Amino acid sequence: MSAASATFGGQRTIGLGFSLLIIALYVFLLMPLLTIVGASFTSGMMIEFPPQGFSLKWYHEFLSRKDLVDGLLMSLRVAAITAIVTTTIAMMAALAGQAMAGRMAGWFQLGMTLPLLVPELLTAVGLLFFLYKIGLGKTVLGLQFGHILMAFPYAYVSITAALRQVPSSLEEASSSMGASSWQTFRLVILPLVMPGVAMGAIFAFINSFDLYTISLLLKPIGGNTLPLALFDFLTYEFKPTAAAAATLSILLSLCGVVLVQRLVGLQRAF
Amino acid sequence: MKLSRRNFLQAGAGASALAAFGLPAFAQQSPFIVNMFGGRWENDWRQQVMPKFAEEIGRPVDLDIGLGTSWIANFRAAGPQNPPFASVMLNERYTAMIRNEGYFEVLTPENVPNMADLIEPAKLKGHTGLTGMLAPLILAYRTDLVDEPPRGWADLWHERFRGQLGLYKITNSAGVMMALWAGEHFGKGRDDVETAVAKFKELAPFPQIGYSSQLTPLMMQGQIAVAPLDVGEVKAMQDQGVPVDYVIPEEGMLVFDHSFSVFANHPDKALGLEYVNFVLSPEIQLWMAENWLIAPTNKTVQLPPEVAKWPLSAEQVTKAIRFDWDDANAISGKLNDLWERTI
Repeated sequence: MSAASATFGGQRTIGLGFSLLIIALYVFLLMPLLTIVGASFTSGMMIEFPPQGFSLKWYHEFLSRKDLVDGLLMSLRVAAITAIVTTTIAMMAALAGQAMAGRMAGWFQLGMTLPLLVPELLTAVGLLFFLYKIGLGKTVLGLQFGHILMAFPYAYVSITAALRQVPSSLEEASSSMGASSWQTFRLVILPLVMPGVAMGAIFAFINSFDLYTISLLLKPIGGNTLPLALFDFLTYEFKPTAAAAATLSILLSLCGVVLVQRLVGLQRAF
Repeated sequence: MKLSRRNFLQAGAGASALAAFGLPAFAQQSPFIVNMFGGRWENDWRQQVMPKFAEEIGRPVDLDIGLGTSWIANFRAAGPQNPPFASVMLNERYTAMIRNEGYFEVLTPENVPNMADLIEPAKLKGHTGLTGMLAPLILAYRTDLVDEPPRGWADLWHERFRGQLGLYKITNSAGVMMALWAGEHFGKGRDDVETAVAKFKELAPFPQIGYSSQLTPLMMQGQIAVAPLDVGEVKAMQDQGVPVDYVIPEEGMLVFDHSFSVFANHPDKALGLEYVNFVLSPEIQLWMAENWLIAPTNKTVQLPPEVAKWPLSAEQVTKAIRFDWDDANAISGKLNDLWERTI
């Protein structure tokens, strides 16, 4: 009896230890977010935590700053196009990768994730010279190419993982019942991999929305993305307007998570 | 409304169509482009200065916002034959990097008439750039935290300021200028990188800050009491009631030096020259002095009394310590490396 109670006590201690570890991990992950959100509501003149009083004036200032709002709009537009284009291409690449076998498949996988392996700055410099060569230097289209390239591996990995969960017997059954390849894809495969597709799109969107180095070198004349506009802002004005912008960005990311939840359910997506 | 997959795909398709529709809109207009720093610089320049130039040339204008490093990377990628815009404003440190590579038009009083009225130090090497924005860098201090103000740069090494200093990172041109000055003052010359870094090591630990506006909050909060700072930041703090004052270092002020150049091979070169002339005009130079506390480089500018109390006169800025950025760039790799490893 005493041995059982000692074992039970030991398990409780371990459980408590793990709970504390999880809490510490959450605090570590969430504190920067809570700090920046808190600082955005300060009535003081500087980014500080805890905030002095409560005010929405920095949100008002953010919305009245053309440079920041234009940056937000450009980031949203580029990220939306990136998510759509990247997800489409990644789906095709994932299907191609699945059709391959042996060493070829391994090399293909590696190739598809190369943008993750090469430092972003080197990719940016290489792209910069390439884009000027083809006449797209400092254009929106050039920036868009850069974002699609950087976001692609996230969508590819997510969709590939989802495709692997689909039993090949379903595809064979669909074919044997007379469905064309397109019908099989549209009516059988796509509904099953939709959680992975949605997650890939969300990852691509968020990745594009946050890209800094690529945007710094490739941004179009007269245009700025939000991370660049925020960096420029903080370089010359260290005010809580930046915290308000960051809070709105966090809200946008949360909207993405809610969207996944509504479309496919978070549990299916992960 | 229930959000279904079909709704989502339809919305996505709509967004794509809108985005695709929006893309050509960027290309339809052909505004005259110049560059500027972000934040308040962009806002003020876009709202208060550029409309005048747009009216003068009868063409829309736009700004390319960024920093020296990204502009230089773009110019190098584009090459001298294909510059992305006609006129460029750069810290002289960056101008020096490419001024010998055939990018810039040589500026003369014939193609930039206001050049005739400039103070001599504003005419940069080879006349490939003219200084249009000169921001004095002085020593700021908290009057409530410092009993005896510093008199010059050398006082930063005085025991009474230990633990109270804030300084620029070596990546900022102010950090480079201070290192070159320290090499000359304490060592064998401006290229005496070892002595300069060793002297700054004596001051460590100290906050190293990338930009002036990041030193300001530290001084406002009293985390630092003495720092090199441009006068615009000092005024901004005084306007907010922070007990802060400044001294002009007895060895001489340093200056952030922003030059304006014109790309020789851009189709809008003539407008680029017109823009540089516009920036150097007494009207715009006075506007910059009044709004940004930037020292006019045009000798004909008369500073109003409320601005004259700041060290912005032609006589004062002419006496400022200046550097040859060709020489500075030549040793910057060694300086950065030694600084990063030592401090």
